Amino acid sequence: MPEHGRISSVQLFLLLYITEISTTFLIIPGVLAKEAGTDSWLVSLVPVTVYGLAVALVCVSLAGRFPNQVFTEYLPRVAGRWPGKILAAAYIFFFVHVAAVILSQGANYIHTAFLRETPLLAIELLLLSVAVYGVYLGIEVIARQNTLVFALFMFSLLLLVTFVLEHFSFKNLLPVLENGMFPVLKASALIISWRGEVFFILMLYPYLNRKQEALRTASGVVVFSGISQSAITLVATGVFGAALLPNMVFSIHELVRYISIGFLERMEVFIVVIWVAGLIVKLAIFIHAASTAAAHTLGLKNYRWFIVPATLAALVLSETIFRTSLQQHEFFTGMGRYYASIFQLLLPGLLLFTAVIRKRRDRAGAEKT
Amino acid sequence: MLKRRKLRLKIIINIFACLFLAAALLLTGGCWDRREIQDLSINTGLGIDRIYVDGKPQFLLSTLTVRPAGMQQGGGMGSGGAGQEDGCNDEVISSTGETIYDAVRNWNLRSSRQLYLSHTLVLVIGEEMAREGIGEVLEFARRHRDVRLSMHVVVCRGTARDALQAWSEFEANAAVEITKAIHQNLPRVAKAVEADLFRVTYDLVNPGIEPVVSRLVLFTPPEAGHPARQGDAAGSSATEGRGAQPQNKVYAVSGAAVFRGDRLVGWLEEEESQGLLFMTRKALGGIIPVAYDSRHRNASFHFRATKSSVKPVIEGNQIIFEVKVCGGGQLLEQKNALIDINERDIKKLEALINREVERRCLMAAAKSRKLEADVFGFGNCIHRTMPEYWKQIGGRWREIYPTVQVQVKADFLVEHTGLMSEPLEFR
Repeated sequence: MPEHGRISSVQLFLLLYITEISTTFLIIPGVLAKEAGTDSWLVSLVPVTVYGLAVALVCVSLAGRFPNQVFTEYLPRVAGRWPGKILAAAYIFFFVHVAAVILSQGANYIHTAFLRETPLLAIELLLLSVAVYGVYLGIEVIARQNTLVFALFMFSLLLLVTFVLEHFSFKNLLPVLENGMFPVLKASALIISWRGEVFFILMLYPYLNRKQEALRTASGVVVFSGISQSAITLVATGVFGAALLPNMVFSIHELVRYISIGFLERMEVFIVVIWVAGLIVKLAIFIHAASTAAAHTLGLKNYRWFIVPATLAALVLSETIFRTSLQQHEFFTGMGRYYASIFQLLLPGLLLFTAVIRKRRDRAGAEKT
Repeated sequence: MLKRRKLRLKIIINIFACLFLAAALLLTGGCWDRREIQDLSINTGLGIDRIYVDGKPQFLLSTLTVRPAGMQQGGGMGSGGAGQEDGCNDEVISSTGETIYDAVRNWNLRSSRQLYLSHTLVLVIGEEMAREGIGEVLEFARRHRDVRLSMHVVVCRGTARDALQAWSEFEANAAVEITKAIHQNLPRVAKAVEADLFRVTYDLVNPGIEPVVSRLVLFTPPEAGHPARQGDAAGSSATEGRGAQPQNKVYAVSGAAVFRGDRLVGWLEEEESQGLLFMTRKALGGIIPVAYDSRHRNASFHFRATKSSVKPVIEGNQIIFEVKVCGGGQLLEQKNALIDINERDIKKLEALINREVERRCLMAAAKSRKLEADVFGFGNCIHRTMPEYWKQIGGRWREIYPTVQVQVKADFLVEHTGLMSEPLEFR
């Protein structure tokens, strides 16, 4: 283990929760309404949660077999030396790639909604520099800082949702299941990759101080983020109606802009604050994962050597393949939907299978905890 | 020794770090996107008209901008060449363009400031533009990052530029006056509808409902020099204080503009608008005059907080909407009606009120069917409650709508009778 940080179950919970919700809360009602209409609140509550639970189960079982090692460390032991290295390289690419997606998505919102004249690169650099500092300090610092972010996040979101409730109308949620369950399942494909981010427990497992609680924490995250996403979607649908939502790029931003209670107006700055705060945590986690994985694969003791290369790679990727909103849109609605599931469910599932068959497990470590 | 050197190094590093942070602080004051107040022109009202330049359609954008404070004592180029002495602090500046955004940027051809739309309270759409379709206007407003969803949308008779140039009588800014007048309307008069940008787009994109927005009317105030005013006992202030009222056009918000799709197809007059408000649960307060034992209206009922429910009933090919309107209020005026507080009289009064409310609702229903515009959202109601049936008729709803039947049942309760019980009996 290259790092001696320790995180508690609560910190893990908050970390995984913020990782998922920080980039989804802003766009999710609009994304879902396109496919599922008035039933979009069901999407993140039921089918996506089932997927998330499956990911959590697979990943915790896999990580539980090697409790003192990070995922990429024991990959070669499970899959064989060279296939393991290749898989690890794929995961490194995946982490960097997702970091690029987060970065471009995050900068894109600030660029289109607020700072139109500021180049994307400037926003991206600012976000990255904070995230990189967090990565440099280690996972424990990220986890602790995230506790603060979580408090801010929940407080702001609850406040804003409460303020907008005066415009809420149950009529907008009718009719229920107009076209049956199929659109709901179809829409769930659009967002499963975020719920599957609970697979990060693979990278965080060895830092846990109470490993026996890992499964409970992971499934708790899945259910809790299902409930909160569903609540956000419910409120947005109840206020705007399913017909108007699909055209909104940042539906929660619009929701908050619509708040007008006496002098309480123009509260979208809260959204920016929690957006940026959550984004930095998420970026830090992904860059941390990428650099740790790279350090293991190349056999180096210190993951910090890889922070700068991973960051730069993410920056370059986001500047090239996610430069325009068209590219982003195509990624999220095209292959991108299934791309993440390969790394979240398919590969860990196969690895777990292999590990069970080949009877690979870290016995000494398992007894210690 | 080594330790001391290390310490000194640390101090030097810290000093440099502090200097660096202090230098970095200089950068936080500004960014690429700074929009300083002295470079902005704060806009409160936006007017959009259709004009033809060399036979080609163009947009005429009129902005009601707040005049910077430093200029207010100066020249007399106020709105419509007036303003100064009236305390008005806005002026209308217009520009043309082939698209609306083109017009927004062309605005800068004659202005030294950026047009700042974040404080826009009201969007006025000219009649001709509205008849051609407001889709482009709404699209522009929805896409713009500064324009708020809570901005009011009104349609005026004539052009929006003329409307914005009219005088505000009660507020320093005309857009503020229009907005406040609309806000006052629902709880006090309930004779004009209220629609913000969100409402209009909602009605446009949802099936089975057509948008209605408030109608802005311009007129020259009849008061100044009017014989009725001069002979008035309380008219001393009007004739002596400020002198006669200027004969400029002023605003009134009354009635509603009815759209079919995004095109203006007609108007609802005041009583029809009230009927619409009753049926859509938006009427919060107003007066219903009734004729009690007389051929003339001689008593006023003041209603508050009405409620309504719509129930679609399908009988063969005929769709019937059973609308129930209920509410309470008080009797606030009666002349020779001689309504006593006893069960018989009050029940009779209630029946009269109900009949009048039903009449207003049915008038609104008749007008909307005549215009073939489902302003009540009846189709939407079917869509929500009977999705299977809606699948059969949804596509043809605009043809079906004129044939539907609307039944209104009002149930109002006289709760109080103001500060008096029995009416005064004049000898």
